[in-house]
Amino acid sequence: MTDNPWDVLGIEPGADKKTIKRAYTSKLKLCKPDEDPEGFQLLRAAYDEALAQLEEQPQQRVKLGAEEVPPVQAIEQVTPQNNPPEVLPDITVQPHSEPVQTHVSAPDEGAQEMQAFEKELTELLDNAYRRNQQGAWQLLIEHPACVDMQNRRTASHRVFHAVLDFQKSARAEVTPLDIEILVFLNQHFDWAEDQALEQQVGHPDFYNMTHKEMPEPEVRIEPVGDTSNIANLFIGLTILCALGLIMISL
Amino acid sequence: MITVGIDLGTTNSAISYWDGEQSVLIANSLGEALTPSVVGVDNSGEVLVGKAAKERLISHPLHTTALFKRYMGTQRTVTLGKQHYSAAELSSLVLKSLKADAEATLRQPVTQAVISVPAYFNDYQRKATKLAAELAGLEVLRLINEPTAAALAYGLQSQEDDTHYLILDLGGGTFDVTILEYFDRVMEVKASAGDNHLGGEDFTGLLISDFLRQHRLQPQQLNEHQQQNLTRLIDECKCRLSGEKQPHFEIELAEQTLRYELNEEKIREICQPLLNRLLTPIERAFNDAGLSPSDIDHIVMVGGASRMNIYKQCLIKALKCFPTTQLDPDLVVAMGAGIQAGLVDKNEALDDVVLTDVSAFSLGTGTHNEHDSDGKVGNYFTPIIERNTVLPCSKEQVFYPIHKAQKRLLMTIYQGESRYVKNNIKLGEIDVPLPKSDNIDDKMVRVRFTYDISGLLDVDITVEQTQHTISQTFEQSSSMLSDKEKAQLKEKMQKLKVHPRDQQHNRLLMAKLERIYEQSRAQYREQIAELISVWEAALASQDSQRIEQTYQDITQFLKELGE
Repeated sequence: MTDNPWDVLGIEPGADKKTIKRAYTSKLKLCKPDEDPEGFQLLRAAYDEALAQLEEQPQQRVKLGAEEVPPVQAIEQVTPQNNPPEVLPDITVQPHSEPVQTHVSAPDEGAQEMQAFEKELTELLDNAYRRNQQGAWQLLIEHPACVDMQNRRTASHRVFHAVLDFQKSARAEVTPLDIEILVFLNQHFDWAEDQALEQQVGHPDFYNMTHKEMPEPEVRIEPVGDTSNIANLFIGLTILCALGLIMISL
Repeated sequence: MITVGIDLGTTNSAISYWDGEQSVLIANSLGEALTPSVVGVDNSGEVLVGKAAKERLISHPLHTTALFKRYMGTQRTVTLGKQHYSAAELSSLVLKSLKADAEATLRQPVTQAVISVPAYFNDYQRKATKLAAELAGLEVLRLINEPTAAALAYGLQSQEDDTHYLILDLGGGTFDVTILEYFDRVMEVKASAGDNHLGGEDFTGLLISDFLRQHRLQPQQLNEHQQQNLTRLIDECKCRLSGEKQPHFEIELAEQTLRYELNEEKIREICQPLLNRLLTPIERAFNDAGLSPSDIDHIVMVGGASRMNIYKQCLIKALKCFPTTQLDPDLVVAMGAGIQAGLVDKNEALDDVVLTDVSAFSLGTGTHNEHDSDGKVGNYFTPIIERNTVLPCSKEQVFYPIHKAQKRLLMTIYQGESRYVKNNIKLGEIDVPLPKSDNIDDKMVRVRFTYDISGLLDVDITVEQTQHTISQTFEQSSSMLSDKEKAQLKEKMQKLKVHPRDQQHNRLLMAKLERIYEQSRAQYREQIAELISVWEAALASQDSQRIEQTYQDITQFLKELGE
């Protein structure tokens, strides 16, 4: 990326998005990815760089929650020796903690849904009986706030933080959530992929929440509620008794 | 020389080509665009592919197999009669049948193809697909991701500029999500995500479990015939749900007539866990593309399973937008593959169309995990090419050995998204000798990954101090096997007699009769058995007029029976 992206694209610096795109697509037809891979990579790098500069320039958008996300300029070099890759901050992080609601139809509705969802979440965690039942969590994640794509990430983060707080506060008086529940939530929300969460809570907590795996089952447990075997046994016994009675009566 | 485009699907396959103006589907010998991806061997050892084989799934379950795409790239084999076959070998038979259809229609040999694969297909699965093509005598010019192919078909027919598409492909075995932007005749894939084990067949699977639960049956109690029969009936029932309120069927099992009813509410309840899983890849795709649902102009549904109402409703709820299905969801991928074939052939009409795709998965290496004192979770996965990077691309990173006295460095190469290498797929490893020095900075290595559009990964490792470079190509083409092994495989496949193409409809009728015999009750069985012997006699006579006449009569009779 030593070349000036604007020179590669052949436009004035600071052009608007449409112009940048138009310049990219017209140049692209001269260096198609399958015909001229090197040329394409140069063009693509210039295009990405121009778009990135456009994003940075005019409005300084990173305001809320900026203190949590230190801007990193230098490209980190990964040294496996003392620097686990996890701490590599994403260079273009947006403040994820509160995604901007761009819901077109009814923003109020979304907010209300989210409130109702949070209430259900708190109630579930407070309920000692239900909180370790996967079915209860299954119901929770089917809540409209969780299903709506616009809200889903927010909902996912709320659940993560609530569960993390619960796990931390638990230990002494109440036992933490079962590993099955954590595995289930991780699968559903894909937390291990969420870099914003890692930055919010730090590595140890994030690791504890996301590296969980189901323990290998040692003994195969017969499904509960399947009583057909016992039923067969009973029938067998009854027949035996009946036969016995008949024999006696004879 | 015409290049064909092939959709090699889990349940159905199709083939098309670019005729200079548009993508045209090629019908099989039965006049249908869809060929079921089912392979069977008949009593004389001849191979059957497609609809006739599908009919035989019920009457000859031990000699017929379907859904083998799910085992692509694995060691798993299927036994048909006496022989064992891998998924690639079975797929090659489907490809061969499609190739024969194309050659009959185009009246020229067909040797080059573009084949579509699920975007989430990993390295081994892609390799296996290429091997299948090779065994069928086809050279793969390009593997195209299925949702990208679908997007090509949609993008090219619409004239709107600056549009974002969300393509949701729920096929028989996989779910793929792709976000694509169409701007100035350039189609840019923004992000791909997916679930490799979520498709229409999984919905059928849950319904079968429910049926067994309802009638207190264990799966082991059913023999192969009964299992196939039940699967077919449940699948039909599931499909009828898009037209009927409460479809049902009856089946004779364990000497009883068992009834099963289905309605919207019931299927939703049973399949809710699968519906929940749909949202995870959709969210991932949005995050990776840096877009939100409100940026999407069209939601395109692809794949036969798109017809399910519960699926559509789930999407509407999640995305607050109605999806489009202007093009046939079963055929749109094949049409797109045909367009890509035209692009590869540098067809004039497509001269200004450019497609840029992304890598659907991350490629990287394993690095030391100092948190892992007990060795339980293993090394970290450090991505070098992140997923959804535009292809082709080339990226470099710097690594150091763990100890300064280290003499060698073992670079492992992995593909996947897990933070730990043990959950990802290992592509290979390279042993790098390090220079003698006490200074760790002298032992720094630069690792460059280059990933091109035809699926070749190049790894270059340079030791900084000596400037010594080790290069290795991880060819994604069928390099898992040696040339000798490939030749053996080819020979094995060539030995198989494939049923003559022009007699497919005769074979289909026989298979159909056998299937109906299997499924019908005692009072009809005699009649059907009678028909089978009449049909066998007609075929044996080799009198084409008599065969034709009998064919018409039996087909008419079956029509009256409602088959």
